[in-house]
Amino acid sequence: MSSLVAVLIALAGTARGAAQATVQGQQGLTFGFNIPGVNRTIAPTDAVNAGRFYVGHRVGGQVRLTFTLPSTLSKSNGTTLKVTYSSTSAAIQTIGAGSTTTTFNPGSSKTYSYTTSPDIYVKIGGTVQPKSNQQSGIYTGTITLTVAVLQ
Amino acid sequence: MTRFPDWLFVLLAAAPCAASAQGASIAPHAVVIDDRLRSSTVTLYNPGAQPIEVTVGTTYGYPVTDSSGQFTLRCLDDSTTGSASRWITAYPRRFTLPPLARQTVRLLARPPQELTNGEYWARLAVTTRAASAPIERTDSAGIQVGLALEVRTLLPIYYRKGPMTTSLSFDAASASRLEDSVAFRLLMHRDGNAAFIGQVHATLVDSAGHIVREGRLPIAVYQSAEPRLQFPSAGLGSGHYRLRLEARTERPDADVGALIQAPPIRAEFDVLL
Repeated sequence: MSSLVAVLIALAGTARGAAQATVQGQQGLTFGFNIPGVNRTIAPTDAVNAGRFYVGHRVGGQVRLTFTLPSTLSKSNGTTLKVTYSSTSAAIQTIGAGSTTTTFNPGSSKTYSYTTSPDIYVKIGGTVQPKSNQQSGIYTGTITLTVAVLQ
Repeated sequence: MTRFPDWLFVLLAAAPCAASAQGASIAPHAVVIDDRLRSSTVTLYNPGAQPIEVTVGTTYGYPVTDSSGQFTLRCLDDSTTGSASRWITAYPRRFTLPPLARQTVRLLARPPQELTNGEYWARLAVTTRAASAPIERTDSAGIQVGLALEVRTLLPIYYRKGPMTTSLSFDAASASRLEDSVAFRLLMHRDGNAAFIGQVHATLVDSAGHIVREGRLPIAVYQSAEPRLQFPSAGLGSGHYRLRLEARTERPDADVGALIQAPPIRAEFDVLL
């Protein structure tokens, strides 16, 4: 349902008939509550906590996906918390019949070819590593996804 | 800005994922500016339920292939020859886009007077602030962690002055066997004064003249490229094959007006698998 809505919205919202690119940040990456000294990993396939982008493009095209990832997160007083990513912390999930999921390393760019569906989700997870004496509080950061149309 | 009909709000209410999304649809996804007009427009649309902060600018870069044969974007200094990014400006450059509203962004070109005929390139860079980190703000003494999302979209801009021509030459094709596939690297360079945007139709023919593999590869050749084409190897015996290539300035994802047309280019190579 959500993929159908996304397509309808995109079609309704832009110039009729023109090729378009749609990129949306749909869900921020969250690690919830964490315990000092205990690492917590969120997989990109975690539907509740993983970050999720929608990237729509016409079938037959290619895009280059590049993440800009923070290595530390900060709270308002400047205290930091380490966050890391592994070779499988990012994933591309095609939307529609025969949906497939492919993991990749978000530290490297990824070229994606739209062969069957014009809709994909790009998902991102990671691991936070609170120290045993980590200050409590709210730690935040920003993940940027750059989508270059290869044309 | 244009308001959208009520039925769209109903549709959005039924789709929590889309409704909470922040980002933009941008059309067209390739911008052509004619030297006689020196301007063009793109339309941004916010399909989400929250306003988005949008920043629009230009940068310079074009597709190339990396060491593995994948197309990637090479970003270069905008003083490089062939760049149009220094003299194309977007208006407005920074704005807030309300939910379900759209905004036209005008691109104005002020090329140098001595600009010679040819195609000049830039990338339109659209940055939108995306979903906020979903953190529950409570008085708990725990450690809460969340990361917000931002998206940056890079779209091609072609500035064209005078007659445009493009063509392509296939210089070489090499083959290699991988675990469960065969990979071909196709060395090609562009002729004429405009980028060759299109696709390659490749067929692999065995010694008896039968087509044993067939595939299409989207290409964007601004200078030269060496993309990789891969076929499954199951059932492909060792021996000599012919690789037939045909490049056309057609792509299903491109608007017709964005592509400079050229006659089909054909080439054949003997390959040993």
